[in-house]
Amino acid sequence: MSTFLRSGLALPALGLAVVAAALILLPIDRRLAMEVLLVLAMAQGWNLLCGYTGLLSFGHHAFVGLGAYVLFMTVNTTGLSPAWSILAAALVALVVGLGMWALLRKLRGPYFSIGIWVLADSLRLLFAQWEWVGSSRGIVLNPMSIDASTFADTVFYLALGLALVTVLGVFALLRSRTGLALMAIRDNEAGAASVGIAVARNQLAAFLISAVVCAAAGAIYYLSVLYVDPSGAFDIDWQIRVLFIVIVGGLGSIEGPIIGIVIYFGLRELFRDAGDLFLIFQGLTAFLVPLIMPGGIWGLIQSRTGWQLFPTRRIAQ
Amino acid sequence: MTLLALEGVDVFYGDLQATFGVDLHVEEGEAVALIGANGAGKSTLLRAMIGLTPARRGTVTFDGENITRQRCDLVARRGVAIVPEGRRLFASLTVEENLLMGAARARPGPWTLDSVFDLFPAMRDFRHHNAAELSGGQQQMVAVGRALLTNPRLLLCDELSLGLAPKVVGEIYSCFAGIREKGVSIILVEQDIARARSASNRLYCLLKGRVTLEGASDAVSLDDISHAYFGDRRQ
Repeated sequence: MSTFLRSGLALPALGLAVVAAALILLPIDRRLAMEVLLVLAMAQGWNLLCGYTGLLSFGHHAFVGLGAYVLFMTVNTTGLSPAWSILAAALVALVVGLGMWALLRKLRGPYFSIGIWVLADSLRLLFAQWEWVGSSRGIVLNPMSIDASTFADTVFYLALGLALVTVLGVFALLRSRTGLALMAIRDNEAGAASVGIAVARNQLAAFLISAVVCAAAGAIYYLSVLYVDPSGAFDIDWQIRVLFIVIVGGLGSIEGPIIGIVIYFGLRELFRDAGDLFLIFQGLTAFLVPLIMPGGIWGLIQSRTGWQLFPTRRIAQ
Repeated sequence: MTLLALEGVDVFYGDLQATFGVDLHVEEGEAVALIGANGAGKSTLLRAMIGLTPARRGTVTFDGENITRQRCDLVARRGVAIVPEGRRLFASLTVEENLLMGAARARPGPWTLDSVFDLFPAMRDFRHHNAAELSGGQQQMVAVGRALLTNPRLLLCDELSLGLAPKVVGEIYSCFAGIREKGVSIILVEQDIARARSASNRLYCLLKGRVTLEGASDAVSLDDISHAYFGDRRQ
């Protein structure tokens, strides 16, 4: 137990356990909690690719939409349960991710960012034309596949599970040698290759992990609304949200997206009945925070205090 | 025994040919200097050796195996490490994390964090600093240390002295004895000819992508070098 404490794992484990218990036991709005948890998972997955590996993606809404569609089509055509269909969504995201990587792997910097954005929009156009998946009308989940009495709880627990697995998984990965290799690649690709790191393979791994997480989150979210259409599922707003959350909270840390989530949903709920005020404050935050705190809110806290709630770095305390 | 051999190496950047039929070899335990003016093709040859810019024609052989078109990270794992020009440290990581990156895929061998700290005792004091906060000389030490932690059989050093004060350059070069003691062979790219001669057994001079001089460092005269370096306009 004492090595566990000293290794710095006790605090994050305890923190996550308390948060999970509070979410389960307190009489909260589980719909909102589910959405928060899913966006948190997306943000952590995206941050692994962009904050830690250095490949800035503007097209991860492709995987959100893809995951949603695969789940709906799997449930409706095979009769597989929605929960198991999430695995199908993850698997298809893996395969499509591989295909996208084949097109993107030589692109760097803004070319990569814009390239994946184009692919995401192409997917939206494809799904809007594709009769089998309902074209622009979208599709409704077969109501026979769900049990209405437990449905709300089921999606909540799926979202909670995904968020916990993602945060803990990313945390474990970053503490491993692979995590350090990802950061080395972000800082200098040629330098990383020169000490024996397989640059392309590590980048691909981070890309696929982020794709799978976003697909699973998209699948669970649209499962909860029982209806999916291309303009919603492939909406770039998913990407913008994640971008806002990670940049404001702090790129390249696990703590950052958690702070960003609190700010995003805090603002949204605060101005829920105030129309466009939310957008104005979101814009102001997105504008001011990077100006005043270039490393995001967590970056500032960390540079002042040296704290690491999720210790992934070998820094003397 | 020959550790590394280049035969008829032509390297291209797109349509531009940078080297022309370069033959070069390094024996086990030897230190070889590559000298030449800017644009002579020194760094290009290093890039061809580690697979960053593979030779279009000719072969690169390391320890009897053809590595001409092998990927950079696989060449590194075979035992060829580079201290790149401009150092290319991982700027957001600490010194120790940079060094650990070198050790991440290392071959077995004598170099550990401690033996690198013994080589550069000053590095112990700034081991927890971010690489970006260091002076040029300190960064160069970290770059050498990172390369050594891969436990290389051959260490490629690209312009160690670039942008550093002469005193600091002296400190960096003084580590060479300690490195060669452990049996590491060295290829040294250097603009400072006196430094290159004193730190090597043999040297090659390049001019516009061709080898114009090869010989034992203490046997070639400065006159020979100056002809090879600038081309002989008098003939």
